[in-house]
Amino acid sequence: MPTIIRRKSDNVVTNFAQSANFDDEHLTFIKIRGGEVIAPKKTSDTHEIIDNVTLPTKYHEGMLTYDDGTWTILTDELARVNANLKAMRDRTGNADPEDIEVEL
Amino acid sequence: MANQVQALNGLTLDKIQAVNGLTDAKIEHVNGLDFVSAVDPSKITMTNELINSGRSWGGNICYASHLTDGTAQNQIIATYGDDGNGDYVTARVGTISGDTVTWGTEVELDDGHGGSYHTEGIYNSEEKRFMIHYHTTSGSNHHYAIAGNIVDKSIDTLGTAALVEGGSGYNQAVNSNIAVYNPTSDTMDCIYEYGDDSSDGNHIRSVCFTDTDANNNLTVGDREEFANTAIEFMAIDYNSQRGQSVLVYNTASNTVKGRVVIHGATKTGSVADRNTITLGTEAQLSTSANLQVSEYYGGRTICWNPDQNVHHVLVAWDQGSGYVGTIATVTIGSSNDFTWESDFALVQSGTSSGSNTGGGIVYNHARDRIVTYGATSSAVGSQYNFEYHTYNGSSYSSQGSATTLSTRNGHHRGCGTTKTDTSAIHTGSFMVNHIYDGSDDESGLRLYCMDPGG
Repeated sequence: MPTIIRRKSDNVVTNFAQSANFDDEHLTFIKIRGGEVIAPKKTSDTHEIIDNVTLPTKYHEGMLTYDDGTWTILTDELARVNANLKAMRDRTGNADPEDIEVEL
Repeated sequence: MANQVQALNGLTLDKIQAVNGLTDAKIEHVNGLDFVSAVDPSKITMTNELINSGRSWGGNICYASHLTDGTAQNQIIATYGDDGNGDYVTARVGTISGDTVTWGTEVELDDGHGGSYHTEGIYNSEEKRFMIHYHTTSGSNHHYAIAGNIVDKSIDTLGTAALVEGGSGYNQAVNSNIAVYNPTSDTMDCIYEYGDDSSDGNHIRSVCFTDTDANNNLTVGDREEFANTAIEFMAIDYNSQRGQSVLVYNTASNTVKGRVVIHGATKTGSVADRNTITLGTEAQLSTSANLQVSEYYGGRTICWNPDQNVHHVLVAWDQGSGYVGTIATVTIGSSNDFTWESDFALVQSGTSSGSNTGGGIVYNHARDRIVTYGATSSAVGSQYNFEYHTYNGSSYSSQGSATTLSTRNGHHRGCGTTKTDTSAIHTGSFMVNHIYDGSDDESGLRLYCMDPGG
């Protein structure tokens, strides 16, 4: 079962991981698709690790909250970021970066 | 050492393969004369070339010679937005031994400002610290900068992310050349298209460490517009002879201009003065060229050649029969005046223009050669090549062919190179990119080493 890293101040899920722990006062985790990451600015004071979580159908960092087992999509934030990405596509004429998709 | 042996028993230099069992690479002297055999240009396949699996936006790479504690240690620092981790701006630091790179763990630099699709990190040689300018999806594609300590194969003690541009209206960047380190003012000079301007002008801001404490916090100077135009093709470089940053940019579809960047103080001045920018007189360089070879998501279009004290600029130039990739030469005079020299050379590798070609230019000091790279067209599956030119101060000589750099199928994105001299760690020049589209889409951010030979 996956692990999530949640920001304590607003319950926003900042990272999705295979596993995570706080080493030397900062976060270290294994990404869902593999590869270890150090996050020097994340500590146990600012973030918490929640193991064995069932993930939504489509998810993206910073676009969901998780509270008492309930996922909520940050629709305004998602729309704002996707507007930014569309502006980039419009400027370059390229197909990327694609819109971020989130689905419960 | 320069080669002094032109022939041996009637064999010319290129025919000498071994003498008394020694291969040409092992022969250093013949009858007291230095012997250096010719090396063909080649792509060096680095062991552990994969930096990050999957999609990795806005890839770039810089070179650092010291750790922050003062220990001499040569390292390369790759930067990118990691699609496998929120597209957050990320760094990965590696050491080089021969043709092998040993990477440290990926470092998430900032998760508070969304994804990042353009990055350029720099090594601050005065402070022996790392700084990076990056685009984000926060606000209206706001731009930020952050700094940290360089340690063995990692970055730590990150400061607070500093807002470089927060104007509304979708700020933009077009390729992996959005910053340069200026050691004279000890600043990172950052360029971008300021979207809030009615005509989307191109702007520059200076960023420097707030103080000498170890918190690594940054102070950002005021915005200065260097081109009031809707065209966003621009490049920035540092001129070590003049001690100034240099801008080149399009003001119309085929008009290239340039300016020098003048800081209010050198590195001993106040933060406010160092971060105060004025611009030199604008010089028109060409009305028949543009900087679109690296559009969009390619590498830099300008490089500094310290051996000849000139900049080389990669442009698409109207040669009468159409626009073709060309290296042009720019010199900066004592009055901050620009001169676009008559010297130029055509490039065989890379298309002359067009999105998705991943083009760029880098100067290789170890070989004293200029390297250009890119795909032969914007179509998926196009050959991705590099080639070299030499420059003797007045004219170019060409490799006359192209060396295959990658056969991966797709559009090459990111394509940033080490700007600073990496002769201490390799004779090749380093570049990173990832593949978008095509059958090799999402095959990861990879390190490429281009040895132009010599």
